[in-house]
Amino acid sequence: MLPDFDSNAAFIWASYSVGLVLIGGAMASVWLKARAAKTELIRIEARVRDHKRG
Amino acid sequence: MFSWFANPHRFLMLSSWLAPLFYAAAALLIAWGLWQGLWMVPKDDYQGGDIMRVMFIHVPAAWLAMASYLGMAVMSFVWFIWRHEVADIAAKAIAPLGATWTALCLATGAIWGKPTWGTWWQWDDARMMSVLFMFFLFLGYIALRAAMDTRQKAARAGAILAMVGALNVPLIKFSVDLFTSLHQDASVITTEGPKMAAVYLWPLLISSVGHSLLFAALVMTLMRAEIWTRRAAQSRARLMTGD
Repeated sequence: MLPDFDSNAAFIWASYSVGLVLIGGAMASVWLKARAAKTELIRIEARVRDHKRG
Repeated sequence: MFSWFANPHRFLMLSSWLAPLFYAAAALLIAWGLWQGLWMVPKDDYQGGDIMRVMFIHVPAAWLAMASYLGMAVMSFVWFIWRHEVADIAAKAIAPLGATWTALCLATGAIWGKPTWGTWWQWDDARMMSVLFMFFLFLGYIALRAAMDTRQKAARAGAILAMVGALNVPLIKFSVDLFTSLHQDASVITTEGPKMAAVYLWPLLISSVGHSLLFAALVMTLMRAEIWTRRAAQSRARLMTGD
């Protein structure tokens, strides 16, 4: 159940919504970047192993 | 000690268990801070009623913005003096996240300002302008690094900007004491101790620790990504040269 605020409720919810968007966006972009980097490293290392085997 | 942490392999091992631990602790502390800030603490009529609840997101963001800039400057200094690669990777990882929390501080400050002071923004307010300047320093750091054609040049140019820009951090902290500002004087970090009532102070401190742990976990994740990217680039280069 949402708390019952005074006349400034819109400002309070706007603040926490901005926080959710910015922090959530930062988390998503960091995790996607890390996953892409790990996938690329695994792909390149597999190619290196294949190359060594000839 | 710096040399021990400067080993990327050792950092990967340490962060593989430390980052998830920080994420979990941050989730608990931020959730507790939100519950306290939005549901439990009484509104403060002296501070404008319920609008003071914005404090539980604005103040942690403001503290973290300053702390992250100092962290970036310290890591830059470590790279500049000892050329430890992990320090440069840390500084690079802090920049976009520091910019995010600074943007959060600016946005929530503007939203809090409108019902409290009657304005979203005041161009001659030293606190607001010095934080805005720090936001541009973060963006400038990212842009400067991206503009350099080698990793060494990017690290050197970024480190110099980060270290020089650190002079702005004490200006932010003491701006309310030195200049005319809409902001109230410091009420938590003062020489006489906190002036804030404990019912507000504890949720604020717990929220701040939660934000800090989340920030640290995200920095570690970005650093791991950067190390993997650099390793992939090295492997690709070896593949090209046929080594």
